[in-house]
Amino acid sequence: MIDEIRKAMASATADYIEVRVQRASASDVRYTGKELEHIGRRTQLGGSVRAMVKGGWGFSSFNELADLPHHVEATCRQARLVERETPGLAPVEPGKATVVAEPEVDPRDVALEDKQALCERYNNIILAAPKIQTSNVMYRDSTIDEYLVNSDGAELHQETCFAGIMVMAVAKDGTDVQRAYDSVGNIRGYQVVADREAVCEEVVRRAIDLLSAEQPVAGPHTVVLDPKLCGVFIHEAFGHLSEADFVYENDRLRKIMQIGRRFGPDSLSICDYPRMPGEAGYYAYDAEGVAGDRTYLIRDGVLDSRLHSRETAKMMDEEPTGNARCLNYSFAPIVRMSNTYMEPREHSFDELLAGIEDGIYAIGAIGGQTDMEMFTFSAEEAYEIKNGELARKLRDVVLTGNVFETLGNIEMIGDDFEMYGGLGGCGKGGQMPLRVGDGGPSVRIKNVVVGGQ
Amino acid sequence: MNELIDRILSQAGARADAAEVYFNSSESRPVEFENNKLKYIATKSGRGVGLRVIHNGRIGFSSTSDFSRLDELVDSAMESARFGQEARFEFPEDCRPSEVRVYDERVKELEPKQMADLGHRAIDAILAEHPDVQCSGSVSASVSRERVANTRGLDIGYTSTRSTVSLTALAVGDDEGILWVGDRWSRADLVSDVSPLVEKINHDLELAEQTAALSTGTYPAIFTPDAMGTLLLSISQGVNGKMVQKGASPLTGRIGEQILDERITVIDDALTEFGPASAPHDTEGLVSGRTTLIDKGVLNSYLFDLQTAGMLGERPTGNGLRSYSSQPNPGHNNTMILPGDTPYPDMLAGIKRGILVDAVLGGGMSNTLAGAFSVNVDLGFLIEDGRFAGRIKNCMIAGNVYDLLKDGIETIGDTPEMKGALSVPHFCFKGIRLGTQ
Repeated sequence: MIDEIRKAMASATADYIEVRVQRASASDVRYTGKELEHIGRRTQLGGSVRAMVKGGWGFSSFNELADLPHHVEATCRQARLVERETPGLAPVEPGKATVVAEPEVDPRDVALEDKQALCERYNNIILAAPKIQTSNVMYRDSTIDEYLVNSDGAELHQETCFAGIMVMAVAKDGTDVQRAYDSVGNIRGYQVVADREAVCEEVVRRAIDLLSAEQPVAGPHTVVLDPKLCGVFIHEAFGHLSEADFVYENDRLRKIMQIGRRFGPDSLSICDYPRMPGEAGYYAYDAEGVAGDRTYLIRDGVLDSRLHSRETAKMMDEEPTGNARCLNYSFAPIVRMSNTYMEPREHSFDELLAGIEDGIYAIGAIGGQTDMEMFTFSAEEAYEIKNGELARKLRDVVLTGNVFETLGNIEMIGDDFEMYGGLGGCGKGGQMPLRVGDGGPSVRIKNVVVGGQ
Repeated sequence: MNELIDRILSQAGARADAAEVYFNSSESRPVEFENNKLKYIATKSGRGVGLRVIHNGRIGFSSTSDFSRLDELVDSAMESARFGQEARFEFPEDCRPSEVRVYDERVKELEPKQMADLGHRAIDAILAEHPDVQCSGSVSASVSRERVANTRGLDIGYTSTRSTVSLTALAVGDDEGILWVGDRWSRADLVSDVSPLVEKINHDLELAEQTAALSTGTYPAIFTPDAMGTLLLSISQGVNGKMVQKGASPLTGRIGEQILDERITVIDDALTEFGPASAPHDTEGLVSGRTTLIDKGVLNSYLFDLQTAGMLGERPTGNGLRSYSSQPNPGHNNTMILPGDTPYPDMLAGIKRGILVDAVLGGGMSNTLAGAFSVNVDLGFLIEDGRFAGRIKNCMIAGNVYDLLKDGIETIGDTPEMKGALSVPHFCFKGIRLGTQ
C-alpha cells in the first residue's frame, strides 16, 4: 500500500502533500428495552489527500482508491487557488513505523453471537429491576488500519482496535423519567466490556435514586468533583484553550495565553499524553506523522506549553507536540487533545469534604462544552455537602465556570486517580466523536456557579 | 452504480425472504475560512450501501463503503438476521413521492472561486464595521443522491442539493473577555445573499460591546429562534415514536391531552420548498408529508418509521431516517412552530427588567428526555425598560421545558425564522430562573 501511495504522489506539485488510506471494520450490538435494535458488522474503505502550496491548502476525500493519482493532482490544483502566505510547517523527524494493535483479547476473535449474549445478559439485569421503564445497551468494536505517507518522508502503518460498551437504565415515575449510564471503552481489548454485571446493577440503583433526588439551589457553591468529572472539567476548562489553532493567528489571544502565565495554585499540573498505554485517546503517531509525547499544559499552576499541529508550531515558533488528529479519512487534521489529565496530589477524600459547610459533591459526567472563556460540565448525580458530610441526593447538577478564574479557585487536589474513555468522545470543527481519554483525581473548587432553582 | 445495487439486491434476495438496499452518495465542496483568510478548498465525496434483510421473520443488517467486499456484505446481513429483531413490517411495494423541490442546478454549478468570493464579501462587510474581530467559517455546495430498492419491487430515489454559509466572528476584549457571534444559513437552493447573516453578526457584536451584571433571581426572558432550538430538543425526543414505543417518553399514552399552552402548534414538515430537511420520500421508500405533532397545545401524533409503527400498530408517518451505515429510526424533517401574534419590537418593549437569550453552552447535556435544561448563557443580554443594556456572562439558566411551554409563556412572536431545519418565532417567557456569582 505504501508503495502504491508513493507512486500516486510522484507527480504532485505542492510544497507539502500527504495521503491517508483507511480500511475499517466494526461490529455493533444495540438493545433498547427488550428489543435487539441492531446487530451487525460493517466495513469502510476510504482515503484522503491534503496538499499545501505557499500556505494555502487543498483537501480531497473519497472511497474510490483507483483514482488516487487523479485526486493527488486535483488537490494540488485546489491548493494553488488558495492565496495564503504562511511560514509553512515545523520540521519534524518523519515517522517511519508499523504500529500493531495489541488488544489482550481481540474483539475480532469473538463471535458476534457472544457479543450479543453479553449485551443481552446486561440488558436483562437492567430490565429485571422494578421502576425501570427501559434500557439501552450499546456495544461497539472497531479496528482501523491506516496508512499515512507524506512528502517529508513519513511512512506509517498504524492499526488501532477499540472496544467499548455503554449501559443505561431509564427509571420512570409518572411523567418523570431519569437516566443513569456507564460507558467504558478503550484500546485494551474485548475483556474491558466483560464482567460488568455489578456495573449494570449500580446503574439501575442510580437511575431509581434520581427519581427522588432534588434540584440544587441556583448560584455559587463550593464543589467536590470525582475523578471522572474532574477529567471533563479540565478538558473543557483548559484543554480546548491550550489547542494552538485557537490562538496562533490572534495577537490578543497570544498575549493572553503567554507561556508562564499563572492559571492555578502550585499544586495544579495538567498534561496531555497520546502514548498513555491502553487509554481511549492513545496513538503512537498523529495524523501528520509526528510522534506523540507527554505535554505539560500547566505545570505547578503556570502555563507551560500548548498542543500543536506542524502548522501552528511553525507559526508560533514552538515545538510540534504531535496533536494533529482527524476523526477519519474524510476530514483534514486539526489540533486535538488525546489523553488529558490533572496530576493527583496528597489529599484524601475526607480532607476534601472537611470544612465545607454548604457545598455539592458532583459525580460522573454527562458532557461539557466551552466557548474558551466560559464552560459548562454536567454531573450524572450529586449530593449536598453539609458541614463536611454528604447529605441529600441531587439531580440536574450542571456547573459553569470561567476559564481564567475557576482554575485559580481550586482549593485541594485529591490522592486518587482514574482515566475514562467510553463510547462518546470530543467534538470540534464538526469532527465528532473523536476518541479521547480524560481523567484526574477528586478535586475541590470554590465559587462554581450551579444552575437550579 | 445502479448495476451494483441490483447485484446486491439479487444476491441478497436469493438468500433472504426479503431484502432492501439503501444507497447514498454525496459530493460536497466546501471552501473554508480561518481568521479572515481563505484556508482550504476541499472536495469530499462519499458513498456507501446499507443492506437490510428479513429472513425467517427477523431483521438483519450490514453496510459498507468498500465495494470490493460486497460478498461479505450479504454474509454479514444474513448472519445478523439470525439474532435480529422480529420484523413487524413488510417492505413497501411502491411509492408515489411528494412533489417538493430539493434540487437547484445553481448549487451544483457553483465554482470554488464564486464560493470564496461570497465568503470574502461577508467577512469584508463584518470587518468594515468591526475591524478587530476574526472571522472563520465556510461556504459549501453539495449534491446528494439516494436510492432505495427492495425485493418487493420498490425502486425509488432522488437527487438533492444543499448550500450552506456559516460564519463566526471572534472578538477578544481588553478585559480578556471572549465573544463568539455567528450565524448559519443552509438550504437546498442557492444561498447567495449573505446580508442577513452579516447584519445579525454586526448587530450582536455591537450589542455585546457593553457588559451588564445580574444577581441570582427569576427574570422575564425572550428566547430567540436560535435559543428555542435547545428547548425544542426535549419535545423532539418526546414525540419520537421509538421513545414512545419504549415507554421512555413522558408523552407516552397522552395523545389527545393538552400538554402545552394552547397557542402552540408544532408541525413536522417534509414539504417546505428547498427546506434543508425536505424530502419527497423517506429512506424506507414511504411518501413524506406533514404531520401535526401538537395542535393548539394538544398532543396529536408521534413520528414513526416502519418497524416502530408496526410494533405499536400505528400508521407509519414516513419519518424513517438513516445514513447508509445504520438502520432507519424515526426522525424529524423540518420542524415548524406556528407564529403567534406579537411583533418582536412589542415583545421587547414589554420587558421592564429581563433578559434575552440567543445562544447557550451545554445544551442537551442534562436530562432532556424529562424536559430538564440547565445551560450557560453564552450570548445573552440584559433588557431594561425595553432596551438592551449589555451582555450578561457567567450565568446559568435552568428549568423544565414542558412546564415552561405549558404555563410559562407570556407572548409568541409573529415572525418565524428558519434556523437550519427549524422554523420558529421568538418566545417571551414570564420568568426564568437564573443563577450567577
